[in-house]
Amino acid sequence: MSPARQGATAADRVATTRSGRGHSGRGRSLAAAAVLLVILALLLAASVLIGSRPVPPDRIPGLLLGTADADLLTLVNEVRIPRTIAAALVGAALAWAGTLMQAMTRNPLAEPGILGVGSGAAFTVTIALSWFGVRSALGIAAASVLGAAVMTVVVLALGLRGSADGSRLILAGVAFSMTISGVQLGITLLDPRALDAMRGWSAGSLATPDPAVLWISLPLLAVGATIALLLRRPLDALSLGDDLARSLGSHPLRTRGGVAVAAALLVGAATAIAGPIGFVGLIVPHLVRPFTGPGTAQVLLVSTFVGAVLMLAADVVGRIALWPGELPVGVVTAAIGAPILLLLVRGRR
Amino acid sequence: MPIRRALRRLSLTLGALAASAALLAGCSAAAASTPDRTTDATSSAGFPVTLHNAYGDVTIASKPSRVAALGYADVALASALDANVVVAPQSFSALSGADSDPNLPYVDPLPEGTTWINPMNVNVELVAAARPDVILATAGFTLDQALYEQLSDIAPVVTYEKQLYAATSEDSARRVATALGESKAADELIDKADAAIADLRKELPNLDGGTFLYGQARDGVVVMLVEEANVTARFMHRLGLVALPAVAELGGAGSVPGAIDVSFEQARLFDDAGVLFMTYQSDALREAFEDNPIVAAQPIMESRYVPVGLETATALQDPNVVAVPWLLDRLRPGLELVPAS
Repeated sequence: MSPARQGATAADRVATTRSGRGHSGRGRSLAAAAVLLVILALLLAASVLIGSRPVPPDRIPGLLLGTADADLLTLVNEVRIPRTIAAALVGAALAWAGTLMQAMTRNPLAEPGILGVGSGAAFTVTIALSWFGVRSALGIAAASVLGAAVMTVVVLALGLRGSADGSRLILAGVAFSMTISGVQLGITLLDPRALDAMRGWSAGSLATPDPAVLWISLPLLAVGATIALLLRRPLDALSLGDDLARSLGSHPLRTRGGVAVAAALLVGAATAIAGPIGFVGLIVPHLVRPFTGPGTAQVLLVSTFVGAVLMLAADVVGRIALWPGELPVGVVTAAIGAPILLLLVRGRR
Repeated sequence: MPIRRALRRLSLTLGALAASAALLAGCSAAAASTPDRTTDATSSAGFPVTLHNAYGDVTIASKPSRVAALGYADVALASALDANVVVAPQSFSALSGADSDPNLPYVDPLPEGTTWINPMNVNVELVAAARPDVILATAGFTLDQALYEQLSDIAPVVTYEKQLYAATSEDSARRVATALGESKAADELIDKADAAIADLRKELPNLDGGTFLYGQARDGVVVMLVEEANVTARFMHRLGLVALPAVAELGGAGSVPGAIDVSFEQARLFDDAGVLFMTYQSDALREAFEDNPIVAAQPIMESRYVPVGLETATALQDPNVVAVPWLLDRLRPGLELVPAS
């Protein structure tokens, strides 16, 4: 069979996949999205109203009209609403990053951390704390984004050198991640002040989101999401294998590079807002695919809601689990993420 | 990868818990330790002496001449009892790089040849190299059975009798003094601390029945030391203060024994405290607490909020009798703010 014919066949398969699975898949996606929208709306309301200091229902009209007590208005407007926005953004961003990584590597266990993005962020935050004395939330967030970006570039440079193979990229990510994690551990052990500061950051929390960090993260998230959207079709082609993807006019190397940049921006910004949050990027695509099918666009669409829902739910649970204290959201996602993953694995058998 | 990250998080969390328990006072105080009937608590020449440790009995054959002190209270007491201290723990200020002097501010300068160790990670080889004939670890917050046995190969080790920070400061002083053969001098130190507290209460009658809050800010929560079982809270009680009932009665779990974790969202409760003492593990945490919109809106932040420095917080975690006069001086500006009840 000629290469042209092979390409045409592959294109037909993709087209068939899109059209055949597309109509039912799109319908299911829309239905799932509708249900998720309702759940999301409920969780958004819960996130604003529930916490260590609950908002009594009879105060809601006053809050909406701006006539409630000043301290209640402060609680809702300056703490709960920014926190809710932060949770939704972080959840969606991590879910997108996980979707991209799994599509790019064709590995169901891939997640943003596999490129070492989180380790890179943790490393530069440690350096910033220990060597440069950075103490402000904004400075730590900037270090986090910088670390994610630098790590991505380094891993890309080595992982994609002369090869578009995703497994090489994973190996490079894992190797560098372990290396810098070891160095980071050494630094924190030698510098108790950095260790103290890292303790809070490494737990992953939305308790005190800095509005300045939120604003700075928005353009990064927007750029990352835009790149991801532009790559949705090349990623679908890549799911057929590199050779077929090439025959369809896709560039595996370029696609993987683009995915890595998008993932770095999304994870870097999410980490800047909330610190390292585990499991969300890993499990959300698995929760979504049974309803949407494998098409990247549909998975991304529904992942937005599922990621936001998961983070909001985890954050609300964290607020009341240890009342009158709070549990960092990263602890909650880790606690609920592992059982969910096990259930998914069990369900697949 | 997720497993590795989870393990890293777990190790950091465990480390944080251990250090927090140390810094903030995992100082639950059970019943006061009872005097050891097998020891001579009154004579400085009463050797050999046997003490019951949490990790086993120890016998000190003769009056020690080279003392290794692993805890802050140990070095303060040993130095005040005129012992020859050859190993001492570096202050947290020195460890964090905030201060170049490794000695505690309330301890007289130690000899130049003193071996300084990191109390959070005791280097046994350094301790051995100093050739101590007794090792004091009644306030050794990283001590465990394995370390105890390693140290016991070097010299007799004196630890807490039941658990860390469970004994009263008076009992701890007597225990160290017994090991060093300086029981009478210990009584003088105890009397001096008692007199300092009595003088302060006389000078500041507003303390009587006043309320306090003392907490450490973490991410989104304040670990408030409020329960009477906590040695820091009990020290405040000796000054005449009680933990603010509105917070103390919230219930719920605390990150350390004798504490309650309270979300920043509950900050309006703090406003009724006579004084709000706060300590921080990092500047970022202090910034996050002070800039939190709910916290910042509370009038107490402008009037009776007192950030506590590292060494003051360290002394408060286990207010040994030597540290008490110095500690009261440091706390006095804040204590003066307490409204008369």
